[in-house]
This record gives sequence, C-alpha cells and structure tokens, in this order.
Amino acid sequence: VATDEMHPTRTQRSQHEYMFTAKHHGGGSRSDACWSPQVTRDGEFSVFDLADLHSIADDGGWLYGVLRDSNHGLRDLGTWGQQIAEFPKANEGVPWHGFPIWAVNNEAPPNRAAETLRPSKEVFQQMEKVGLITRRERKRLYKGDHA
Amino acid sequence: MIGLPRDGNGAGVPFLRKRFDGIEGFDVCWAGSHPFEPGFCFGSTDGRLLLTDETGQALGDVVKSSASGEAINGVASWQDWVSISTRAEVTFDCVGPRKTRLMFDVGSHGVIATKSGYFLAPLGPSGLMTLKPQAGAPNQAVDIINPSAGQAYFYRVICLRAPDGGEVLAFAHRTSGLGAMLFTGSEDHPLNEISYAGLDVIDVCAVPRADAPLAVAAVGKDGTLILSRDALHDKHPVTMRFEQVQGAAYRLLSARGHLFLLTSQALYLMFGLAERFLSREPVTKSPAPVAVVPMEAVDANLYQDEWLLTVMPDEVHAHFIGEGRQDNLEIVRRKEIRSLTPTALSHSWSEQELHPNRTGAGVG
Repeated sequence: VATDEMHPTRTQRSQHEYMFTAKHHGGGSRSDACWSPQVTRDGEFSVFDLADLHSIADDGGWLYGVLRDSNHGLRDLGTWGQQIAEFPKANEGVPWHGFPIWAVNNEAPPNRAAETLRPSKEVFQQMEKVGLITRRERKRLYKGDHA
Repeated sequence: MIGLPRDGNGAGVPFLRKRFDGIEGFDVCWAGSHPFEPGFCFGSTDGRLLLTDETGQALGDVVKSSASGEAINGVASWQDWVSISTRAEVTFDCVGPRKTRLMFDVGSHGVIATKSGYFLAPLGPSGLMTLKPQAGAPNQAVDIINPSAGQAYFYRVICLRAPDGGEVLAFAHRTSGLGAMLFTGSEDHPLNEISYAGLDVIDVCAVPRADAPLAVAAVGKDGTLILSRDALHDKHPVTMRFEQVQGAAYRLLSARGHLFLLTSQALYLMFGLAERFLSREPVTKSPAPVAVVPMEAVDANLYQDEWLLTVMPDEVHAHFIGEGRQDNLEIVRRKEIRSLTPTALSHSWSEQELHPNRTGAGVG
C-alpha cells in the first residue's frame, strides 16, 4: 500500500480499529518488517482480530497473533518467514497496526533476528492454551524455528 | 521408559517412549545421545538437561544447563568436554579432573563436535563459531568464521571425513543454499555455496560410503531433496521432490542408506534412497518405497544409527531402524509402504566462492 489504509470493520471483542500501514507493506525501509503479499487484507485483520478475541497480550498490552492455513499448519505472515505478528498497543482513539515479528529466516537483517524481539514465553503459552497454536508449534517457534 | 534392546532386530521392542511426568515442568524439546556413555540426553524448553541410561532411567538429577533458561537446541561432546547450545548462549563444560566451564553469549542453532576435537556452532548471520577447548584454562578464545555480513546464514552444519583424513564441513544456508568448505581448524579456506531461486535449505546430513565419503543429502523447507556425491565439488546436485510429502520440512537424517524426512505433518522413511543414489541408480526416475507415518513431532535425531528419536509434544519416541527388513520395522508394519514416484527438478544452480573472515572473541 502506498498510504495507510483502514480496515472497514472493527475487532469483534474490543471494537478496535485496524490500519494497514504503508511502512509494513513495502513502503518503509529494508529493515522494516513487512507482511507477505500472500496474506490478504482480511487475513491480516483476522490475525489481529483473533489476537484481540483471545487477549493474547504481553505485560505491556501488546497483542500477538498467527494465521492458520487450510492444511492446519501455520502460514508465513512476513517476507522473512515470520509466523507470529505483533500489534503494539495503540493509544485510546488511535487505530492499531501490526507487523510480522517472529521467527525470522536469513532474509531478515541481523537486528531483526535477535531473541530480544521474541514475544514473551507467556504469549506462547497463551496461544497454546486457546488453541491458536499447538504444543508442537509452541516449542518450535519459541526455539526460533519455523513451525 | 525407553528401554532399548541391545541386540534389537525390530521384532523385540521396536517402538518405545519416554515421558517426563515425574519431573516438574520438564517440557522436552530436544533429544539425542548421552554425551559420554550409552544412553540418552533430553533437553527442555527452560534450559534443563536430563541424562538417562538406555532403559530410560535417570542418571542423576535434572541439571540446569542454560544460564539464561533458554530452550536446548543442541548437545555435543568430545573426550571430557560437552557443549550445550541455546538461542542465547553456547556453553562448554569439561567434566574431567580439570573441571572448566566456558560460556559464549551468542545464540546458536545447535552445536556439533568434530573428530579432530573442534566444537562448531552455527550462529545464523553471525557466522560459524569454532573452539578447540583446553582443560583448565579459564579464559579462551573462539574463532568466528564468517563471510561478509549477509552473504551466508549458518543454520546447520555437519562434518564429513575426506579420504585423506581431513575434514569437510557442509552447511544448510537457508535461502543462500548449500555450503561446503575444507576445515583444518586454524587455517582459512574458501566457502563454496550453491543455490537457486526459491531454495530454502533447512537441513543437511551425511550419506557417506567408501566410494563417496563427502556425499550429503539436504532438504528444502518445501521438502525438496538435494543429493550430492561430493559436497565440496558438486555444483549441480540431483534435485527431486515427492509430491506426496506434506508440510514444512524440519529435519533430514540418514542411516544405513535410508533417508528420514520429518515434516510438520509426518515422518517419511525413504528406504534405500541414499544407497541407490550412491550406486548411481536413476533415483529421480524410478519409484521409491516410502513409509509415511503421520505425526506431529517437534524435532528428531539419531541414536547410534540404530534408533530414530522423535521429540513429540509431551514425550520422546524411539523407533528401531537398525538391521532387518524394512517391512519388519514396527513403525512401518503399522503403516503402508507406498511406492512413490519422485519429480526430478531442473534448476539453474548458481555458485559462489566466499572467503570467510576469521575473528576472535573471548569466552570464559
């Protein structure tokens, strides 16, 4: 996207608004995490919607989500092979946005592969508890491997 | 309990399992060989290790092996030394009379030991760490071998033995392809890399035979198999794919001329495929016997080339793969062996010779 775009609907639980940012859709720098072109707008929004629905959040209120494929596997969300997306907590009245964050392959800049960018262990456990990821997927993703 | 028969032939106790219910919070994520004696080693997501004998009986207490509490992703040993890797650090412990602990604060995808006594840890974009540790020395230096930033990604490494006794390393370099280099410890050698557009190599294993000591098999994330008789010199390896292979590839292992491919959906036992390739049979044109065992495994490893260990979500399974008819294996008897016809892939391989830099870093 050349400019930021709003999704037409709000999340089903919290009524959050969601924005597709140009920065994370190819309009930023090479070091900006980008959504894969294979993920549709509705697909991207559904990652956020499910994250909000299940309150998959860290201590700071940032949300995290995944997207399953028709073969019951996890889809790659980002151009660096990321399978988990992060949604920084938005201020009141400001639309949310997000980007794929973990785990990355070798296409990512080194500063995007650091373990410090990995969501907290509790986030993985929450995802498993509500069925967004399997136990197997939780272990592989936590280790930094693709699921 | 695992309980392996010492002389197992597939008819005794061919499929076993190890659970960890009695160990609070032990969330197993890695399994392999005991570093110093017959038996097993299990790693957990919080950085603990459990050592057992071959019957699955614990040998001592569970040990916290990762200072950071990160998930164990590799254990290797050489003489009195054991190295343990996680995504936060690589540690080296000498358990001999001159007890020594060294720790290197860089995340790794695993660790192996070479017969010449080097530990090698693939550090992703940071390169390949090498260390030949010295007992009793509290501060030692590791070497980091790496081409220019971004040219190679070190995901997996294996060590092959050349006919002259020298060592050759082969690498899974993700989208940079398959890599290989001569390894003589302290000397620098070129790193040969081959790839093609769209390839994402996630694992490589040795398939050596007397007439092909540098033979390897590698696998792409999409299940593409790459077979090479000489990892160091072959610039156009055989590339093929079984369309029936489903899921994202996790591991490719080899023993006794077979290939074992673990994906997110199943374990594929490709009987005799490596052996037929090395015998120059037209493996890309003829059907191959493949057993498909649906499973959701986290990881896999070999134990003494006779047992295939699969790390399941809550336990570890051991499948006997030693001598015997392939259809006599319990893991197979319960499943149908299919005759699968591969698709030969024709890609335009590109090659490049990289000249890694070597930098030193303190470890202690």
